[in-house]
Amino acid sequence: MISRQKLDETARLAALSFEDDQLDRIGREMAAILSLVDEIPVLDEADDAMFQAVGTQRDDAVRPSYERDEILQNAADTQDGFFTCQNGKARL
Amino acid sequence: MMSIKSIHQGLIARDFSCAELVLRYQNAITRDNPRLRAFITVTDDEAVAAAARIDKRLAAGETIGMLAGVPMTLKDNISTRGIRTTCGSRMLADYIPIYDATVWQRLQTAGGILMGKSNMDEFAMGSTGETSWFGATKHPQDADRVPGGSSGGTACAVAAGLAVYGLGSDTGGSIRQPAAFCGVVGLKPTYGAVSRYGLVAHASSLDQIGPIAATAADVAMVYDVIADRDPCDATSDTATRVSAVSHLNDSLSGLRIGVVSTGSEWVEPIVLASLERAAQVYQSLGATLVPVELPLLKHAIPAYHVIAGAEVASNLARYDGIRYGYRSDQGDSRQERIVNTRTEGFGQVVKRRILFGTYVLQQAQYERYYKRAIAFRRQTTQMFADAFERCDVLLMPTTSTVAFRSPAAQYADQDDLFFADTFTASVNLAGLPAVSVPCGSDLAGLPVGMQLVGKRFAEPTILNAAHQFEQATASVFVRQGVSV
Repeated sequence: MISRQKLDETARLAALSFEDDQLDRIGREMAAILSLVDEIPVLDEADDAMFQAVGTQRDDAVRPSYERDEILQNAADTQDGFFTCQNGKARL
Repeated sequence: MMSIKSIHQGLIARDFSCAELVLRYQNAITRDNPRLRAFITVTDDEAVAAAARIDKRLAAGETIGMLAGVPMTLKDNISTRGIRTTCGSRMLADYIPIYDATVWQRLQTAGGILMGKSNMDEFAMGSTGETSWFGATKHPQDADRVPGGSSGGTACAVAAGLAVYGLGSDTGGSIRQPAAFCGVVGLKPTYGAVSRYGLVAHASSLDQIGPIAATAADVAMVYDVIADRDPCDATSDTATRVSAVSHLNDSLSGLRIGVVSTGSEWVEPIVLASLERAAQVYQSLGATLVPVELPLLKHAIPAYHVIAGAEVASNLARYDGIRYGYRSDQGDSRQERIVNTRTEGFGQVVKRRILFGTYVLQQAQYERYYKRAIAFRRQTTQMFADAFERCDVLLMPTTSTVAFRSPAAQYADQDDLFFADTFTASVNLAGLPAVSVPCGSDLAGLPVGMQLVGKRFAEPTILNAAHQFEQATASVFVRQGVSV
C-alpha cells in the first residue's frame, strides 16, 4: 500500500497531475507490481554488468554542429533566437 | 508477397521499374491504410524521388545492392530528417527531426525506399498497438484482434504487404510480439549490435532496433546492413559483426536446441503444440534437442517493470514543452505550464509508467526495488549463460497466446496481459538476440510465433535456424500481399 501523500509527492516529482480516483487506482496497481518485486530472489547485490561489456567512444574532436534556426524550429515559441519558457506571458 | 531477392532480381532484369514497384505499394497503402492504420505518416513524395534515383542508376548500368529500390517502413520513433517523428504521441505530433538515425542513414545509403513512418504504441510502451495518439492499428487478418505492439504498425504493414520490410524497436518484446501476432519474422538483435542513435529513448539499457520482414532471409539481409559499430552511440558494442546472410545455409546437424519447458502452464495449448511440432522439425533437420529450464523466468516481468520504469522516468523528463514538442497554454507559472504540458501531452500508459519509475527511484525505495531488480538482471544473464553451456539456441514461445481481442484495454488490469511479455522481456534483461518466427496458426488462422534465442552476437545462428525451419515447412505459412 502506497500512501496518498506519497503518491502526490511522486506525481509532483514527475511533473504530472492526476485526478484523485485515477491516482488511487494507479497506486493500487503500483503496489501490486511492487509486491511481486519483493518476491524476487536475490543472491548478490553487485552492480549491473550490462554496460561494462560494451562501449564505443567518439574521437575527442570538434565537429560541425547544427544551425541555431534548425535547433529552434521545433520549439513552440522562440524570441530573439532563444527558447521561451512561457509564450504570451511575462518571463519568469 | 514479394521477397527482397525477388524484387532485386526483378529490378535488375528490368521486369519492372522501381517507380512501378513503388506505385504498387502506394496503391496498396491508399487502399488499406485507412482501415489498418499501419502508417502514421505516408511519405509519397520521398518514395517517388528515391525510386527515380534507383531507376536512374539502373538506366546508367550501375550495379545496385540487394536493398536498393525495396519499399520499406520505419517505426515512428526512429528519427528521419525533415519527416515528422511522432512516437505515436501527442507530445511529438508535430516534431520534425533535424538529423537521421544511424539505421536510417545506413538504409538510405543501401537504397531503401521509405514508404512511411509506421504506427506504434505511444513512446513504445504497450503490447497492443492500441495506445497511439493517432489511433489503434488493426490486425491485418482480423479487425477484432490487435496486431500487438509496440511495433504493431511495422508488423502490420509487412504482413499486409504495404512494405517489404520495416524496422521496429524492442524493449521488452516490441518487435517479436507483433511479429508473432501478425505472422511475420521479427529480430531483436544483441544489445549493442545495432546503433540506437536517433531512436527516441524508451528504456535505454533495454531498447534495441531490429528488422521485421516476411522471411528470416529478408531479416538477415536487413540486419547485415544495420548492424555495425557507431561512434554516435556509446553503447554500440566494439565486437565484430558476422554476416547473417553468409550463414543462411549452414547445416543444422549437431546444433543443440534447448527446448524451454519453464512457464508452459501460462501458454495456450495451440502455442505449445506448434512449438512441439517445431522441435520435431528441428530434430528431423539433424539438430539435437536438449530439455532446458529457466527457473527465474517468472520474476522477469516485475524486474523488467522496475528497470524500464526507472529509465522511462529519466528519459521522458526531457519533455517540458520548451525546446520541442507539445506545449500547453494553460498555467500561470512556469512549473504549472510544464505539468500541464506533460499531463495533456502524454497518454495514460505513459503517465502511469513515469509515475511508477519516479517512485522506485526515490531514495527510500531505491534499495528495496531498483537495486533488487538490477541484481536480478545479473542473475538472469547468468541463468541464460548457464543454459548456453548445454545448448546453442533456445526454443521457446514468443507469446503465450495468439493475438489478443481488441480492445485489449479490457484486460489492462489482469495478470494475463501483465505477464504476457515474460518470454520476450527476460531476453532483453540479458541483452541477447532473439528472433520470432511463424510456426503455426490456430483454427481461425491466427498466427503462432516461436522464439529462437542465441548467445550474444549469435544472430547468424538463430537466423539460419529460422531460415532452415521455413525451408523445411515451405508454403505452410505463405501469406497474400502485393505482387507485381
